[in-house]
Amino acid sequence: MDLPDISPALLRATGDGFAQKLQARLIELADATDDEAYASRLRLVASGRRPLRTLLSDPKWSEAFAPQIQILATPPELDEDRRRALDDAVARAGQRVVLPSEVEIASDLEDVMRRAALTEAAIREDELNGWAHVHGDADHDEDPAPGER
Amino acid sequence: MTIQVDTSIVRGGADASGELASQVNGALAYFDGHIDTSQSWVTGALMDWLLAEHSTFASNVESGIKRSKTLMVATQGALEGVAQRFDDTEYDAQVDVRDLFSDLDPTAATTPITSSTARQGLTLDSPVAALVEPESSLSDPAFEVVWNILNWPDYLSLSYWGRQLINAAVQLIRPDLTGGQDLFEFLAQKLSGDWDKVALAGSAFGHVGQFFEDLAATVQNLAVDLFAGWPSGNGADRAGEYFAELVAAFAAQPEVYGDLKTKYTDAAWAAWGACQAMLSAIDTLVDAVIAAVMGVESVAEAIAAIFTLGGMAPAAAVSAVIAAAEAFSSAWGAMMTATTAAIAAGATLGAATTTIEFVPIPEA
Repeated sequence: MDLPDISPALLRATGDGFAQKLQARLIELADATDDEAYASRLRLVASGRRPLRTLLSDPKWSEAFAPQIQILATPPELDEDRRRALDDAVARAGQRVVLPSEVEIASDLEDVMRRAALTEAAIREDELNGWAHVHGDADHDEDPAPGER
Repeated sequence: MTIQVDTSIVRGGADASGELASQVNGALAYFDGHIDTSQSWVTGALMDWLLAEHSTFASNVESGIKRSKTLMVATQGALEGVAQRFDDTEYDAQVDVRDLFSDLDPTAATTPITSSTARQGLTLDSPVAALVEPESSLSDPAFEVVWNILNWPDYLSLSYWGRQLINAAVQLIRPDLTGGQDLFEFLAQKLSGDWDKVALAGSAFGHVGQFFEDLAATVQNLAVDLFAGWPSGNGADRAGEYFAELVAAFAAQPEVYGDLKTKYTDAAWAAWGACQAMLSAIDTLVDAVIAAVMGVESVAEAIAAIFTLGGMAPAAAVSAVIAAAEAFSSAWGAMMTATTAAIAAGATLGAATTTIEFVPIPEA
């Protein structure tokens, strides 16, 4: 099974294991839900046949993770000491950041555009069918998976 | 000694000068059509800074082209005057035409152009052939999405909450980056503008420079041909000096226009590099916050890991924010200080440090 279709720059930043952990979590979520249409969408995302970010527009995903979204969308209050410590640590982490090369940026941008088009198409299709369509393995076969690009 | 002047050749020179005056008029129209003096393409702080002198540059360019036209018209008038005086007088040697030619450069005694002066090779059929449509690969419609920062959330299919998540992550990890302002509004304020039009303006400046290069060569050849029919004598020497100074003034322009082309084109490409990098960085952040929502990695644990320094690598969301902030700082720093080796370092140096030294066109 191919890995989720996500930003290549993110893969470079997170290194080995991240994509696999993400895939495992998506499959876990698919196995846990009774909603077959939602499960099929999660499996498409897990296998890289549907970009990860389609989940942001997925009403089932938003409903399932509403509490976590609320929490993460509100930065916590930090006292002065913890704020200063975090700022220092982030500054040190920033010094270790490897900026992408011009070639990598251009390649990344092409990938951004590719995923944007796929995302828009996928969301439009599911909006038209009320997010009720159960996607099978035969769906989206014509879309190239990340490993085949 | 009787000086025999072929006034038909002199009149031919006058006509040719008039034709060149029309061509310079064409350059003025080209300037009006392709160099936006109102700077309607300036919106972001970066472009505002890089092109603070645009109105001054544009004014100098317009003034130079207008003076060039006036000079060619004056040249036409002077040569017609020469032909008329020689036609009216039986003894050419007694005709004084020096007063018809002003001293364009009183500070120098310039070597006059004569019939023996070498002709210059021309790259174009005529100077006006240089005034082609400006071109820039940054004007490719496919690049429009990169320039349109405020549309990035829609382009990246960011839901309302997606945008909230991104801003919250930035606010937590790098509150100094936007100071609490929405990331997209912040970036638009800094980086936006019709940079493709800046690149086109750079191309247009380059073509005007090419126009002047060809104009200088054409005027020199006009003068060489002229003096074949107007042998050396006081009047011809004074006119020869006039033409030499005219050619020199025109020939000094291409370097200035080349500098303008470099400055504008390099600025546009530096902005392109920055926008590309930021769009890619934000794209990364979007996927990172989705993973964080699903608990693929706990942001709280990752922040704790940052504190321990040698601990686990920070969570994707944390890394993504740091990387995005660093990318922005790098791109912005490179453009503002021209000292950082970054995306478009070479272009940045050109944009930030090239000063434009205009060489004035003499008054007629």
